Amino acid sequence: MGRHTLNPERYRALVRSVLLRRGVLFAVLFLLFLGVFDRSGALSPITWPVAGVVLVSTP
Amino acid sequence: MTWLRVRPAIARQLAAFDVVVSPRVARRVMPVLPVAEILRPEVTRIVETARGLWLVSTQPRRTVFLVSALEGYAELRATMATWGAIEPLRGLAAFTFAFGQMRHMRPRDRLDGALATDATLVDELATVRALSADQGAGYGQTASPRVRLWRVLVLWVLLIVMFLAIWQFLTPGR
Repeated sequence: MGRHTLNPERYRALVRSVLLRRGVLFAVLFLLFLGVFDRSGALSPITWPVAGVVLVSTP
Repeated sequence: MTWLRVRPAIARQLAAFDVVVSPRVARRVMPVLPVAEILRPEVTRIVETARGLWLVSTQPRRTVFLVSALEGYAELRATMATWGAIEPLRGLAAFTFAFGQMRHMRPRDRLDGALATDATLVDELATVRALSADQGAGYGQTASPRVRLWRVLVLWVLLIVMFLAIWQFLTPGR
């Protein structure tokens, strides 16, 4: 019979890696999405700040 | 920002998460998600992804995920290798597999299958429950992992639509 708890350092590293991957994925998808709907042909000046906000506020 | 927001959740998991493994039972408890239990005689597949081991039974459908961040994960993996062959899975196949298994992480609550024919297994499951951090009671109200994921996806779609609406509003007219 064995009882196993989480290793704090490894668990924090795992969560950090998951959040980072998810953040990058959503930021890329968001930019692609904006690019597709960018009627002027060039990304709007607000795209990059918005992408930054999206990146740091990843759920 | 995200890291600051998830820190309390991490602290909660570190305080309450645990996995108890006996010779024929594996049980995982954690806040927010349902308790997951599986019995060795019912395990049909063991899959290893980059983040840990998945113990799967098809009859009844149950899954227990043993995250690689557990203390003594190497020993636990060696124990699980005696339960069955470990099948490695990576990339998109691992992601879709994990997504499909999430709703099967539930307690082994029905008295059927191996539990119906082996009274000692029922006792063993009761012992494992008693030794778990929640002492068999669970951590109260939980949401299905799949429902939680869909909620996050819907939130993201709403967020993107909101940013697009703001962008359209701020773009000067021609």
